[in-house]
Amino acid sequence: MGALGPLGKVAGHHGRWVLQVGLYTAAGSLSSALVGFLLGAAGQALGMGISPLWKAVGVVWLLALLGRSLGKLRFPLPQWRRQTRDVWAKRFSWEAAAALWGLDIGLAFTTRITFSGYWGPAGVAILLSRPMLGMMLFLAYWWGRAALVWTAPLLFPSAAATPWVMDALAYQRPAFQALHRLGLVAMIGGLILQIVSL
Amino acid sequence: MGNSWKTGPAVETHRVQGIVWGVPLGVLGIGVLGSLREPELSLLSAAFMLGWTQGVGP
Repeated sequence: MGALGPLGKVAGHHGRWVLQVGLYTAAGSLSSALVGFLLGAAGQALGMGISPLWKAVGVVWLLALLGRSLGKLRFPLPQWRRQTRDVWAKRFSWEAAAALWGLDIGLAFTTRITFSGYWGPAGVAILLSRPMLGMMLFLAYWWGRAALVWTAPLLFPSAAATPWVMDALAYQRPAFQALHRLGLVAMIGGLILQIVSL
Repeated sequence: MGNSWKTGPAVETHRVQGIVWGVPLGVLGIGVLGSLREPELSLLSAAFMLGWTQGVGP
């Protein structure tokens, strides 16, 4: 998003930045909600979710993703190795470009995935087979993704700090990996809580 | 001026670390507490955390 407009702390551009990130977040919320709803509906159509057994299958799936993340298991996961289109920023107004980026990235399946944990909410949405829950799961996932953009004014205290912050963020990749694993563990805990509270 | 070129990055690293860890752990904490009343909240906060880590990009 930084390529589209100035960061929130840059004098005189705060309003534009907020509008741009707001459009990005709102558009991504639409596409994420749709994907989550459709995955839940697909699970429902396949007859999943009726038995608590499907929640146990979800735990196994999340454990497999965790094992893959830790390098203990190796199995392929499909992903489309593309990034969202930079050219939209040149072809359209910045408002339209921000919304298009949000719509595109919110679909999640259409762009490159950093960590395999993405397949956690996707699998759980299908296995729990509740379209509204699937929608909420994907909205939560998207809002987590967009939240990192919203923190940019905190991360970048001034334009002069940008090189330091970019370096610092690059060094945080192991932290993001650790948080990603913790997110999978938390999701496993959430499913187990659902099983025992039946 | 002294060694200010060294202290700047160190300060930024701590700030970045605080935000990178603080935001998702805060949301997860709220989700875990909220799940005592609404079990789905733990799943949703975990999904938020997974989305946060995806935001760093490839």
